[in-house]
Amino acid sequence: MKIAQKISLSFLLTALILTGITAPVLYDLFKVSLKHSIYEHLKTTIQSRQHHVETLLRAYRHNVSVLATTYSFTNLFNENEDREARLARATEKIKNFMEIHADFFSIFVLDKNGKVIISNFPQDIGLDKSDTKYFARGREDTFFKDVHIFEPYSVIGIGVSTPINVDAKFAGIVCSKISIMEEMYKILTNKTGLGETGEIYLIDGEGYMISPSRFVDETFKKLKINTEISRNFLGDVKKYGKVEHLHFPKIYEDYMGKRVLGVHAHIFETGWGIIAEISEDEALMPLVKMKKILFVMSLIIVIIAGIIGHSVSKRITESVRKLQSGVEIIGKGNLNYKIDVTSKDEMGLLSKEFNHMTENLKQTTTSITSLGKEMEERKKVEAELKKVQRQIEYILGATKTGIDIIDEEYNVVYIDPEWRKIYGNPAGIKCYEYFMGLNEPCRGCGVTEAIKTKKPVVKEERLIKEGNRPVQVTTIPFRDENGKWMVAEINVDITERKKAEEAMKKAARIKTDFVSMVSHELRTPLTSIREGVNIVADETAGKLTDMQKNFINLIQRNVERLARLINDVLSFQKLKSGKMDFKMEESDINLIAEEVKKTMEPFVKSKELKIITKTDNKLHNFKFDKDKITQVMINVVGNAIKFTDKGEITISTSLEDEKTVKVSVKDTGIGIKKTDIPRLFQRFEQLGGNERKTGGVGLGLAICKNIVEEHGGRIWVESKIGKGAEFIFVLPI
Amino acid sequence: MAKKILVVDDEVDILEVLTFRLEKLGYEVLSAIDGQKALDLLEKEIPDLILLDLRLPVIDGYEVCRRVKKKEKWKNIPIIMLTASSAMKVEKTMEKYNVEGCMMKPFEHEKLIAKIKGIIG
Repeated sequence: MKIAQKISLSFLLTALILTGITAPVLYDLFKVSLKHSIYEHLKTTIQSRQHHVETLLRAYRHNVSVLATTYSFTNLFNENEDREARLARATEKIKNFMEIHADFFSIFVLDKNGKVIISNFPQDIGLDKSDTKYFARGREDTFFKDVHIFEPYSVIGIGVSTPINVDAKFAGIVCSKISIMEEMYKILTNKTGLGETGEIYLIDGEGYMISPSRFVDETFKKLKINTEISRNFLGDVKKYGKVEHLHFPKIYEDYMGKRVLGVHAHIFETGWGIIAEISEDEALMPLVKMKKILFVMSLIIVIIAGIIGHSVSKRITESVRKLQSGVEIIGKGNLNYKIDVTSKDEMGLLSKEFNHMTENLKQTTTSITSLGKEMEERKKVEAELKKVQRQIEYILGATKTGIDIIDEEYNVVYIDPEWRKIYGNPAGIKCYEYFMGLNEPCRGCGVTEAIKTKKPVVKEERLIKEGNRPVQVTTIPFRDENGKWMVAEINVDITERKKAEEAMKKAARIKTDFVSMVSHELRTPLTSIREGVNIVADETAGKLTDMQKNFINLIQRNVERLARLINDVLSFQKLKSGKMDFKMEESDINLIAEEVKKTMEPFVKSKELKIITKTDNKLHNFKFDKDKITQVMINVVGNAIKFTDKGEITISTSLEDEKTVKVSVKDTGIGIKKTDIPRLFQRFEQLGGNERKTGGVGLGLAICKNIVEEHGGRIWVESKIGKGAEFIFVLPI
Repeated sequence: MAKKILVVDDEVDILEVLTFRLEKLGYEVLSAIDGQKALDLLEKEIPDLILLDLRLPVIDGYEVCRRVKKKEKWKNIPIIMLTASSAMKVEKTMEKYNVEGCMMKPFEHEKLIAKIKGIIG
């Protein structure tokens, strides 16, 4: 509201100041010109009256002059005519004249001596007026007797006398007394140009009023006008005499004490002054009117200014108010509110900008809100993370699993809190010093290897600072967000595992030792048994019956079997414990195949069997244990012979692919049942317990499997019952 | 009439020595080298006793035992199991399979004969 008031006030003040300045100025301007015109008007009025009066007076003079020259009068002194006739004629003339000129109050003639010889008043005839001014002054020229009251008639008038000249000689004087009351007064009381309050009056040469006053009775020659104007008049008379000069209306106090605008003029004929006065108020009424008009106009202007100012300010402040209330609403939180000020001015612009700002604010708050939500979410997630982290840390602590991150310069970037408690602050310490207390990277450092190969590396380490606690370290290389290579290490405690390994090793050792011992122990009595039996068998101790021989052979066979078994167990044990040496030498597998064929041929003689070799010439030498592979092949071929009555046993070698050699022994025997196949390679003694005919030294299939697998190969069998069997093994080159 | 004993063992030599011994003692001996053959024989004849090795090809001893004990006409035939398994299992096996005897290999032949005699005389 204050702005509105300010604006309205400014308008008002401006209007006031402007009108306050211009109105007086205008007034002054108008005043001057108005005054001027009023004065001129008065002047004109007085001039016209003056003119009238002068005209009247001239007319009187003229009339009297004319009268003096009429026959009636010029003949009045003609002695030749009857006196009575002459008098009668003149009197008649006077009578006629006076009927025409009503304002002539009296006309009489004086003779040379100043005696009244004729008059309109008979009683005056014979009077001696030689001492009057009429006579004294009227003998030479027309004489105006100044206005006076004709006693006893109480008529105010002037006298005019003119000499009668007969034959150029002074004969007599025509005198007239003219009442000025009517004519004069007519002129003077004419209100034209005098308004309501004005008057024109005459004063004589002494300053006495000689015409009636509007306001005062009985003023004739009684009221001396002693006002500024009369003084001016008298001054002028003195100064200028009968010379025309300029008169200026003035404002002064009149004989009534009233302020009037007045001007005087001269009736030179009689030396009178004619004064026209209008009351100042009336005279200057136009001014006053104008003043009033100006004032009213100023007021109107101010009011209009006020109204305009008010409405303008209202309009402006409306915008302001709209803005203000809009801001309030927005401030309370309603960011969708649009301030509705569309004027193309600063307010409109401001509103637009404000709306933009609000929009931005809304978006910002929306984004802040969503940011806030995000942050809340994040907090939740962080809390979850923290929880999970704590869980992880707990697990790490409980399981003694350490996690660390190391960069390619061996700086410890991160160490999990549990471990940190033990090892301390890793800042600025290299990992080899931090974990191992070394001055240079560990031999076979997993960090280096992982970063180099870009692949995870698993190693076992002993933590010196924790009493050589064994850990399995998985080192995983990765790139951080800057592209730098780093590793994350997971150190799993393997104390228990190591213990188990140790126990197992120990057990194995015990077992090995035990087995060795036992087999050794077993061999001893076995030798005795064997020898004992052999002695009986070869009849060294006496002749044997057939039945005896039968059972002795049974014993021998089983003794041998036992001996083999013991050997096999030992071999197997050696193999398992890694004590058996593998002599890997470059050899020719095809040669081995041929040798095996030669070795086994004796055993197929009794059957309708043939051993065939199919060797691949493309095979080159490669590394394998000659003896052991030979034994494997002998075993497999031996089995084939056992289970085949007739047909072929085919030993074939081939290059399976660029890295693998395949050896297969195929027979046309009875085949193997599917259900028996799984157990085949488990038993380490030979197949088929009921063989008597086959000899065969060799190891069980389990040992064969072991030997092949130690080479890095694989052994299996493909067979269908009744369709023979094929034993296949592959060896890597 | 001579008592019939069915001897089932995958070892030929064991079959031989057992047959010899038992025949010498006056028993009639039937022999089978695997579970299936044993069952086939049982279809044909009902022995008075079965000496059953547990580790047999085709059908193993446990299965043979189960089938014999299930079948009406066989379930009264006494069975003596011969096993190379550890001594601890003997009791459990006997209980489980409801067999009349269970002997460890290698067995003492007197004990076995005594047992047989104890069951079928």
